Amino acid sequence: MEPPATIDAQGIRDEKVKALRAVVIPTRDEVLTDVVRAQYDEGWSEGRKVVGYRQEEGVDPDSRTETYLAMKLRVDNWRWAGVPVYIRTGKRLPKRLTEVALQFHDVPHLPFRASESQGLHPNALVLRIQPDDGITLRFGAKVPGQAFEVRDVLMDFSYGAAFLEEPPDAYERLLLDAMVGDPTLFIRSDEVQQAWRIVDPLLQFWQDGDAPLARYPAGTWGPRQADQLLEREGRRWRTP
Amino acid sequence: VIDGLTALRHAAPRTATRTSVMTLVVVSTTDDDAYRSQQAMRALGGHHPARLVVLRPEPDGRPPGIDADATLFTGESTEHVFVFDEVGLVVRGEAALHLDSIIEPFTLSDLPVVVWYPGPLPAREDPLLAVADTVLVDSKEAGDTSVFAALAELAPGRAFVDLSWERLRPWRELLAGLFDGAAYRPFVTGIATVEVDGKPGPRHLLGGWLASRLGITRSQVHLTDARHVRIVLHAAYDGATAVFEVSRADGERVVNASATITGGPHHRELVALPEDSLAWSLARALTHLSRDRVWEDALAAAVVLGP
Repeated sequence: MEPPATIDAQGIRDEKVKALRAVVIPTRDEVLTDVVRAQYDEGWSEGRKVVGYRQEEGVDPDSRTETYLAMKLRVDNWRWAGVPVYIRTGKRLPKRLTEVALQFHDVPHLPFRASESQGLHPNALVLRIQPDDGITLRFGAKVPGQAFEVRDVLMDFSYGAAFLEEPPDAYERLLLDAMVGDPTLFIRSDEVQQAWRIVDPLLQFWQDGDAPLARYPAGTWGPRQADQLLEREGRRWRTP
Repeated sequence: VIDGLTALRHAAPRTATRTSVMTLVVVSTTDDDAYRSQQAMRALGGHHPARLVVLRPEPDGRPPGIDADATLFTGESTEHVFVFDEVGLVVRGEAALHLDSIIEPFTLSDLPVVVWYPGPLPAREDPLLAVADTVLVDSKEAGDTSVFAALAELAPGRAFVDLSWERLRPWRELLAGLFDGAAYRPFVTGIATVEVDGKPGPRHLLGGWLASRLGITRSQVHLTDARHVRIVLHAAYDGATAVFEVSRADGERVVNASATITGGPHHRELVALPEDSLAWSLARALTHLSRDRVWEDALAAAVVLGP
């Protein structure tokens, strides 16, 4: 969202709604190409063998409910026009975390030989929401020595390591705000409507027809189709 | 375990630099391997601070389960205090065959994952290979010369770093350096025979390196068993002959490198060998985590040279 005019409930929530309104709803054709939904099969997670979603207790053995989503979104406004937004979320993934990563463009020209820049990725600014909330800047640095080799390094800020006070966890903050009557971080009804404006057509599309439902082993980062979603555009998911 | 590490970090000195440049996963089959690798990493922590995950898989261990310990290691370099995580995991039962599912939650975002096998080489179907950005092995410690064939099968398409190859770096650099002089350089195109002495493994790797770089045939390379490495190249160019030799004197950590053109100039230098420690070779190996095509070619040629 854009910087709000005022740091209060109305100022912040107005900007959030504006950002959501700028999200372009994918057409039915785009859902087929830009959205991957999937369901997990049995696999290994954190050293334990786990069953597939359809074998979970209380789940319909023929369920077509998705447990994973990867998609590309467009945000058509002045700031974000032309910047693809990729979202990936799911259950039974290898790690439990929430992050927003802003990946910078590749430079127009890399003056190094391919062998000198192997394993180098575009710079990125990662906002870590949880766990270990903080900010990481990833960039390439020359490996010390006479040979020229560049490798990814991180500049790291962690709330937990930087301050003595523990930040309140999400529900502590939520309950306190409810008690003192501060709605800033609560979702306003028009924000809810805008969120459903984006999600509803997808759900409708999946309900209407026999939309593909990919499969992925529990404990992995998702189905191959999700990788292909980015590979088609010369990109790849970062390693969270 | 992650919560435990977070709690440890909160208690760490505020002035300490918390940093990591990689996740290093050690797959140890013996307690000794686990201990040696841990000590080596601690010794070079300031140079390559990493989250260290030491795995001790015991597929036949009972009862099935995982024992874990987490340590926040604090070290001091010349300018600052730094901290890094160490996680030890003993994995018993079937989970030991699915180690990828165990280490994924411990890998650090956006940083390379290096999987180190200090003992035997991994099997082709080892699931950790799919997680690894770089695989670290020691061809000398992994077994007899048959490991070269196994490595040659594993290596294509993956970044492998061989600690044995790193230990041979001083010899390689010295020998190559002998051809730097204008008088000596032309002889590199006229190598007639190559003699490499040394222990099995290193001498094969060096022989493979020379065969692949110089484009010579197997019959031109002669390998001999010896305690220390010695390399002799016999070359001819424009009617003149020359001998290039790099050898280590018994009992001394000094390498003698010489280039002699018959009836012509002679060049000799003595170079002290770097310290012979796992930490040293590890530090060098971890500096270059990308594919090393020269090593891959040397490996393929070592397989052709045979036992």
